[in-house]
Amino acid sequence: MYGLGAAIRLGEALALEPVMLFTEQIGERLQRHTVLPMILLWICFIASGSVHAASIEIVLSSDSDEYHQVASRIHEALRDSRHHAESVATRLAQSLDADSNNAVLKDSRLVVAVGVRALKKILDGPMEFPVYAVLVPYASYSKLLDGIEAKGRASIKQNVSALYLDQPLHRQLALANALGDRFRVVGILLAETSDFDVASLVAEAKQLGMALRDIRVASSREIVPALKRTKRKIDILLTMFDPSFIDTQTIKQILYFSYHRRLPVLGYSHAMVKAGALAAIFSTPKQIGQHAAEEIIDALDSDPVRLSPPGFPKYYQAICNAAVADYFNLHVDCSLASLSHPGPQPASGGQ
Amino acid sequence: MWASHCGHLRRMATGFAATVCTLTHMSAAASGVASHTMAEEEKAFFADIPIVMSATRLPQPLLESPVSTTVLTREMIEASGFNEIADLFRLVPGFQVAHATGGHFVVAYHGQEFTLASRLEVLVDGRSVYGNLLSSVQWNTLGIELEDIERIEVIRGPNAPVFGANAMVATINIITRQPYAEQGTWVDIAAGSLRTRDFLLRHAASLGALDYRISLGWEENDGFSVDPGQGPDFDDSQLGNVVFRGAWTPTLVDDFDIQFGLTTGEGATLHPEPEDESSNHDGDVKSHFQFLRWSRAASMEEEFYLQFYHNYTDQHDRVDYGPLSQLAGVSPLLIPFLTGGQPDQTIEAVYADGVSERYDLEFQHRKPVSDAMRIVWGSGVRMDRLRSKAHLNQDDFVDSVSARVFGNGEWKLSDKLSLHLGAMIEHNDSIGLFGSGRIAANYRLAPNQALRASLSSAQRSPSILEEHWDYLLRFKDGTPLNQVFLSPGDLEPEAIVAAELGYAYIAEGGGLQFDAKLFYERASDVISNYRDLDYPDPYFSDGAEIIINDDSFRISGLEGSIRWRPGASDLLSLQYSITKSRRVLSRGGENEPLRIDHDATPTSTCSLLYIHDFDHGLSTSLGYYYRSVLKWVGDGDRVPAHHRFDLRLAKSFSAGHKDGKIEFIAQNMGDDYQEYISEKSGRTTFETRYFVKLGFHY
Repeated sequence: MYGLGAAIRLGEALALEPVMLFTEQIGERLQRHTVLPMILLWICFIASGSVHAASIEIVLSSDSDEYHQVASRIHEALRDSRHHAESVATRLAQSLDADSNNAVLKDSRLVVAVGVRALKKILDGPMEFPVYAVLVPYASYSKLLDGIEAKGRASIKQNVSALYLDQPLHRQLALANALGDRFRVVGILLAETSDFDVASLVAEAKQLGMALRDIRVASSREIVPALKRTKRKIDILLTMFDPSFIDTQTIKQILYFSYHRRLPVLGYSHAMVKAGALAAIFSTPKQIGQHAAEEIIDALDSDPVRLSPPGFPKYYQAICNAAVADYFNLHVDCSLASLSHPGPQPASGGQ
Repeated sequence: MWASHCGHLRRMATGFAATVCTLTHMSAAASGVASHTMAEEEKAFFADIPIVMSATRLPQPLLESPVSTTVLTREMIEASGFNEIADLFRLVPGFQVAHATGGHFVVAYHGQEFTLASRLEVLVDGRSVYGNLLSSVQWNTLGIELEDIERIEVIRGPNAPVFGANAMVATINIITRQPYAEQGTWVDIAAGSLRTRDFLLRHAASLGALDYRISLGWEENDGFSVDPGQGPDFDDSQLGNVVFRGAWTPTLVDDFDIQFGLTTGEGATLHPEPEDESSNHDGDVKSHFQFLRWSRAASMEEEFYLQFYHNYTDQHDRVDYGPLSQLAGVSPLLIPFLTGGQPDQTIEAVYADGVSERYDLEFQHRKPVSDAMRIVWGSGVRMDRLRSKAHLNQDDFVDSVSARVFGNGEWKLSDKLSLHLGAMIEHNDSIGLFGSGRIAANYRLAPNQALRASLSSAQRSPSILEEHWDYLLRFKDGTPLNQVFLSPGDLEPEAIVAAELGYAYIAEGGGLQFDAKLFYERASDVISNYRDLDYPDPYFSDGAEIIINDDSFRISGLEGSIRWRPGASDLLSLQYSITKSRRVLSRGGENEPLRIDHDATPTSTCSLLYIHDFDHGLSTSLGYYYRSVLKWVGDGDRVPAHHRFDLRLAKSFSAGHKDGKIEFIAQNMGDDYQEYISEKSGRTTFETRYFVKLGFHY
């Protein structure tokens, strides 16, 4: 966002306290205006200079559009809900750099961490407030909480919950099943140390008449050799994000392998499908924001706030790449509408 | 001459620049980079990824292809157990492969070729490796390692509308593995028959946005010389190879492919039959290349590339024929009287001697015009240079500049019917303007079956050597002794017209693929040579071989392949070809009788590769190869039919995070046979060969 840093510094300099109420009044007048979300956020950033916490603090990992879309959707949903009187402030994780004790957040009813960096920043300090992490991958979240436990701070885990960015793998299984009868043996790439519940996925695969093989790798360099070893014993490969071995480079390797060994890949993001995965199920930031807002609204009904256990997004969509489907000689309708559950928000944004 | 060529190139370059400027706007929207400030974890979900499918240059699906295409996959390449790239084409319907010498291979489609097969276009990642010096492809100095090949696409039939001159009868497109495909370090060693000693070290890694692979190889063998005491090695070779390939992706839509390589050492002689077993052989070769391609992929369907490459080969292949007195069958004392005072001396035959270069600049743009139409068009300019005192009888380079414009379109007239049109117009110094074209239709009988029909016309321009060949045997002081080859120049382009009717079937799931085609090919103005006995030689009255456009041939037949994967552990690949051919060979003049050969294309060929994977990393493959009688054109013989069986056993193993593989290979487990020279020589007999290979990856 243009001038954000300057706005934050200005807000800090002016120490604007009553600005949140003003924000709501202006917001009601402008709610039908297309620029409303951005103006609201800009004002909220100015408010982030306040030394007192708002009722709900949304901490963004960075100034990226995807984080703003989540925050904006939460703002809108709360404003239209029974909890419209709750004050909501948005700030960047970077603004907490000088606040190692999370002092600015300590009086909040709820802190929403958008993205891994924001969650890390908050978990690094003392936590006397509930934290709802959104837009965080399952593997990253698990790793962060394991780290907390290792530091002897396991007690704060009960104050944290999450809405994952990824999808439960049974949705990918259903997607593979819908794409064709030929996909009976499904491979899944997992980290060697992953505690992912493979057994339940095996059971789900069995219900669909499919078999599941997990392919374990210790590092990104082992992906291609491991896939080679599977030879032709799998019909399709599911991928789930794991920061210990998946990045842009390894996705390229997987997709390259996919074409040359004629092994279709189901991705975990829209970007993977654009790059050449056969299909994917994913949630847009707006869909994540919508789901998060619904969870937050329910959580605010109780005092203190009581969060649901960590979970996967309930709004999602499925797409496939027609050119790749052609290459694999698949005759499928790439809209895959029947496998999508876009939710109340239009599915167009965020990608 | 050089200055005028530079001016020509500059004008072409200006045209390219204008086109490139236009195309740089092509994907401005697509080049946007998302979420610079996003944390790595979430970036993996939202940040765009380069379009991998475009960079891999996938072949057109079998059911949509307008022409017959065979794809040799990495799996088949490994399972074949072949050590030489040329041997892989034994697995392509209608192809013949011969080891003319220990290190010189002839690869032909439907025969009709001699030692220096000239009518195949061979591309390595889009770089034409057809050489000027010999108007052919030197398969052992391609500048790539067999282990780096990802797959090979062979377009069986004239494909000049896409690949230009030389794609006259078929096109071989060798695609090497992208450096990011797999990273690490590999060490491979091989040893076996013919005193084969091969070593290969490869390393692939990333450096920021640059993925690279470096391959260092050494190949050594003694060729066909098998028995000590039978004479010196005439076709041994020792070749070192360094290859670099880099893939730099500075943005999401831009991709730079950077390649260069160097091959140097002693190559095997090109000539299959030395005149004197005690002769000395000098076969030095040094070749290098540089290749740069910039690709911009706006989407899966739209891509533009601009590429430039340079090939350089300096090759010498000389063999002593023996003393002149012996060759002439006279007393050494008579030689000075017969030759105007020259002493009796050893005469040297020069099969290759000179430097050839190629500079090539090309762009191509592939895009959908509408939902029903997509096109590929492009243009290129090329300069070929050849300097060979021995073969051109002059000290300077002879240059040839050519330019080309091509376009291919595919129209989907309905869900079932598509029409393909392609044309290429070329211009060069010797021929002027000439062109090639193709019209093809593809009809989907069912979602997994297609019929195709095509009619192609292609022309192949004479090479620099064919146009300027002037090869003499000389005395040591340079005085001409005997004219061997002479081209009068002003040759016409060779022409071919081909028609095919094809059928393709792919079972649901791809477990069974069947492809067959009925074809008819008619070539005219085929460049060949005839012996003009009236040619005025100073000392010998044996005439000279004159290069002319006087041969013609026609071939018809049925060929195809079946690939069947009955289970996850088995693959059966069967290739077959049944043909009928008639070649009318060149005549010396009106009174010479017409010579007709029906065996210049074998009437039947068949190959079969069966692969079976056992558990615990053990796999085996069996190869069977059959070729009926074949009369090679020119210096090759009429070689009898042969059956050949190859066997490969491989065991993969892992130690920690390191992988390894050991292979035992037996080639031609049955009777000895001849591939190029008949039994009279006895020195190019293909006996049973055994090899052991060991590879590590870490």
